[in-house]
Amino acid sequence: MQANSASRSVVLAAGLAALAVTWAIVRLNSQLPLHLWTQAWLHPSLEDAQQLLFHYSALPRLVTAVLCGAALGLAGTIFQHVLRNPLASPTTLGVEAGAQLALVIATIWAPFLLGVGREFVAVAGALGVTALIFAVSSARGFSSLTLILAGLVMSLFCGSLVVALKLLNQEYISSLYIWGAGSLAQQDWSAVTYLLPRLLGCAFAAALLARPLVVLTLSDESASALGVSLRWLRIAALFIAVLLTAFVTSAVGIIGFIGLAAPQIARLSGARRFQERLVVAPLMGAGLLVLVDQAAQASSGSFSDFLPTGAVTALLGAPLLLWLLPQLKSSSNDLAPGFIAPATAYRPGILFPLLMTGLVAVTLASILLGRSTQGWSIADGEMLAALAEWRVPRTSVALLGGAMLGMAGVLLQRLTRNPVASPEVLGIGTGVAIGILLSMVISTAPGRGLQLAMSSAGAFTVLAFLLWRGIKSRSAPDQMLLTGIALSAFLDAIIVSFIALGDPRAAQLLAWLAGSTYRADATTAWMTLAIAAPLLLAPPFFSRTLDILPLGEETARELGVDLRLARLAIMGLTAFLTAASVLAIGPLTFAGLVGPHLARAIGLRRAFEQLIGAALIGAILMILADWLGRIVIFPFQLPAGLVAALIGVPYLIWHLTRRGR
Amino acid sequence: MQALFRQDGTEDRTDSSGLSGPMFEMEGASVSIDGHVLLAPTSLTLKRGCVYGIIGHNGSGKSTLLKLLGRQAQPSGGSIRYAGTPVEDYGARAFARHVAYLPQQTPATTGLTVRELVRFGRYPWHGPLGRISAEDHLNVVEAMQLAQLDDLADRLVDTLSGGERQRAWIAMLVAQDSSFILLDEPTSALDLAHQIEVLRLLRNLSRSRNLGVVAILHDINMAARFCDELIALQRGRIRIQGKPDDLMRSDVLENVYGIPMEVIRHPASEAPIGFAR
Amino acid sequence: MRRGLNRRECLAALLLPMAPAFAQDAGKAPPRVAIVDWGLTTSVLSLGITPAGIAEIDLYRRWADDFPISPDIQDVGLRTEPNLEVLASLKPDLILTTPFSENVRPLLERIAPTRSYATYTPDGHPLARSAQVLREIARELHAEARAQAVIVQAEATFTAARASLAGRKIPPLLLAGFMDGRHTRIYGADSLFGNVLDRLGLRNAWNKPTNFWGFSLVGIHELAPYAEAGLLAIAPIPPEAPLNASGEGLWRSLSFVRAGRVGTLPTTWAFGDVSTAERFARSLTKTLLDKESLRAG
Repeated sequence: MQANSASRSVVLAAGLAALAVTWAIVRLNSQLPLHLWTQAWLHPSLEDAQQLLFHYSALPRLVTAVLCGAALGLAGTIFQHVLRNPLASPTTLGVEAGAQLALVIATIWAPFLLGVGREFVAVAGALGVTALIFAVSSARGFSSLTLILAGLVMSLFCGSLVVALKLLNQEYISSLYIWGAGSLAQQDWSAVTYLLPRLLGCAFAAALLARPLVVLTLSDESASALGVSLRWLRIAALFIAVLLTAFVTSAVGIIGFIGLAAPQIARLSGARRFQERLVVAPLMGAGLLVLVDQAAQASSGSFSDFLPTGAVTALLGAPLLLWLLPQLKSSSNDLAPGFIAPATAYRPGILFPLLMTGLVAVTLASILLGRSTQGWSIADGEMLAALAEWRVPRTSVALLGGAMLGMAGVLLQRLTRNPVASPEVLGIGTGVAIGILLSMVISTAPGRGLQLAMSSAGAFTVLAFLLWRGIKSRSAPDQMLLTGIALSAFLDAIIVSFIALGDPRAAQLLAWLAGSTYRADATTAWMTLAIAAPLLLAPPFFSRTLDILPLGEETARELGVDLRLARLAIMGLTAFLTAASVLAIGPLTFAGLVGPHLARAIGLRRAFEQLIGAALIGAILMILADWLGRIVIFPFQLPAGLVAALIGVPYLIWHLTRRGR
Repeated sequence: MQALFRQDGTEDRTDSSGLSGPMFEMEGASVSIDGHVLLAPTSLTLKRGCVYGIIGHNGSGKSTLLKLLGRQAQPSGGSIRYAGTPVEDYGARAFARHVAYLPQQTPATTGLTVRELVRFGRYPWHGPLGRISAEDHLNVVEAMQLAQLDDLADRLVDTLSGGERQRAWIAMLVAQDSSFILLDEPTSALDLAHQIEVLRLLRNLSRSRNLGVVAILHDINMAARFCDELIALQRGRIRIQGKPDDLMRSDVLENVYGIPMEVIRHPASEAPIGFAR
Repeated sequence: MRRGLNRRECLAALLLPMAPAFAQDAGKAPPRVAIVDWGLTTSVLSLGITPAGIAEIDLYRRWADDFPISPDIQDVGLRTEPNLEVLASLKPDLILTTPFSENVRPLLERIAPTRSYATYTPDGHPLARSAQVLREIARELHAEARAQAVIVQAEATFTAARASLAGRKIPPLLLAGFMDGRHTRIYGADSLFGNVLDRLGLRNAWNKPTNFWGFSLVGIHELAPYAEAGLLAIAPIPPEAPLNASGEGLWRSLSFVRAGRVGTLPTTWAFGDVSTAERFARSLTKTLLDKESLRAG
């Protein structure tokens, strides 16, 4: 039976690849008749545009798609296997984020490097960030959870830096948007000659490691007992996967989802063993990418702009993932709770007044202390009256948004027993972004009212979808996370495509995506308060249930917690809190990740204390971020959500390395 | 309370069937997943005040049977009634006030102290929002005393030894003040001394609180020593059920475990001891 | 990126002393104005008026136009999110913006009356629209005579250029803004540049649909069918663009590349105004006249 299912998966993968290639041939044939192919391939006639296109564009594009698809399938298989997480993908280790950051920096400050070789800049960036992630994880013996967490956090950091640089240098980086959307368009064989030897080298190395890697199927303890040096095996395997991804990314840009989906499909089609997947997943990946790329080419004729293949893979991949979800085994065991242990000092009695003092201090600083064209100033009297009009609404919205995110983070992390769950994985932010995007499409001059209506509609559509999936999946928290991830990826693809087209209005969207308090005025501040007040009062009522949920389903059920009801209520509350905060301060919800962690780290262990602590910390973080965003590069301003990530990440990284000692 | 922990191993073995109370009744309950039968239609009656040991080798359906009783799994067919009412008709908390369940692997309890864990046992009584009453406090204190956890009350559960941790979880179940306690291999990770400690605690609870205890046990001799009744499963069916003395025969044990077994009598206590030949 | 003094700068330098005369027509002092869009900034500067504040000054000079900018002009931050505290401290009489910042407008309105001008509209005549916008702005700033002069001068430039190009065999043109080694923007008939081609009597080779801004983002391979065209690449041209690359490839095989019908144009802001268009017309004409190979064979 095992042999059967393995051969079935090979047949399936081969079938997929054959289908893809057939379609490609049919399409090529309509462009250039079959009998001219040999000539066009070997000595294209310079007078025949179709032969030139065949030789320099269509053929290398097809080969590039095959190579990239296979490489991403292979890389994804290794990532998922080594990190023991079915949702691990190249993105997990910050490969793309690192490459992108390096490219942005080179584009703005050292454009001559791009002339030397865009590929080398990208690979250097990817490897640099991965090296950092390894360095951070080494403190904790390269455990899967640390690697994933460090990768997630580093990606967030690089991503935030990239957005900040893009915001400040709009005109420089329009080309990088195309790269970010992953285009397979070719005009010569350079990508193929660049990729082929490198990818073959990596594949060979992966083949050498295949046998020792099988041992990683076991737990860390058992694998060590078998005499395998886990540390070096992991590093070597991940290094190969990172290289594979870095080469692909540097050549064609970010191609999402293949690295995630190909190994999954391979597994579901019956390739149960790791070695089988090493063969089947690249086949699947190649087939998938060729299919998607052919679809992108076939449909782009009917649009005024081209469709970047990377965006299309995400558009098609997300529904695929949603369909696969119910068949995925729960992954929460890999992410058992307890990433940050509480400090031994445990004095909420002192902590709460301290946090309150901190909140008052940053609030005052944010309102009174600032920069003007004349330099630093402390506002008072008339000046304060004039500035309060701008500063008070921003500060209040930051406070409320941060507090809601802090609580949403606690709810989500306890509900899913996943210490890296952050409200933004729910996809509500991207839902809102789509709403704003639609308002731009509907109207050439989208006003506040229309944007608010559309963004609320976006938030609540996602919300409704999450809850519907939640009810359907009997309130399984994993399903909620995965649904959110798939949904964000899907909506992200739409946004990335829009931005890649170079529409100047993308700047507006980008600014909003970075999480800004800029648009807050007295009306929105009062509105936010009206929505936030009841939402902030609700979570403490779930404290006891939230204390028990991290102990797992069996214990919760044993103690008489009505799991479906409790989870649905908490999911709903989390989603509402997130939606309200996203509408107030934008979609970067880093405060929702760092607030709960910090609250725990200073000793607020129980749900009730953690909720209050995370809300206070979230509020402090957002106000501080908003304030710094206003003063650091005056008169320019950085959105608060972005700054929050930029100051929060170093803290998390520091925490990760510290725990290892 | 110390009286409950008598030093010798010769507790009386009187049948407690005279004590009345609600009962578990399984009627033809079965579980199958994707055509694999985990538990064939099974009928069983369990009483309060009695310690039941479930034995059988791996994959014989022990955990499945226990999960059915604890409502941790749904039967594919048949019915399970508690106190005459189908278990599915109970509310979540109402059922938890009657039946407590300890899974085979207790979850990680990051950042919880022993006292906090034991307090969770009162959740079925006060619920998510109800006031915590004097009775709740009393139950927690008593459960901790019973499990001899007073000195450990403010320690983090994760820092305890295996035996201490197991006692902390059992104390949580005790605080739950239920009529039945179901335990999936409560002694599997413990050394001999701790195994005896835990089993003695359970047995004494059964006597003092008229508690029905159902435990999956690996060690046939431990089971025979501490249980009032043994239920032997084999390939998803109850093979044999009865008093330890009736089961502790080489032919019966051979049947249950599928290897040649022998039973001898302890030279002093006359207790039967089974071992593989 | 600086190209030294060009014609526009010389002209501006010459006109500057006269600016007050133009600016003060009807004897009124011009209102203090703050601008959060680059196209509108060019318009105001072309009227010889010194605004109180404009957005992203450094990048504006590098990418959009090189009008001399007085150090008195305050940078108000990003175009997408101008610094409200700074804007308010400038105490402007008027703020100029575009419909794309409509969602910020309520905030700007609280500082000063805010006018929103659309150069890009769905009917796709940005050049005509920008002349009209210039007139409207001039009315607000009491500089209508100067606006008229700017427009007349642009018209004169177009007419003269058209005359100098007439009779020469100039192929249909592709106006390209290269993004990287494999992609380029092509400006269509409804872009500002496309409008200028029309005015000069030149043909735009690109006949495929374009987006709201009048351009289309395509892979190099999309250029293959345009065998008879000439291509003008508008700076800045990224270092890895095929124009700079050596070696074999589709680009080198394209028939207009092999025939040498490729030229470059200096940096010009694609979303500018009348004077941007005028500058583009000048550099376009110069390139076409200088470069023999660009003419159709």
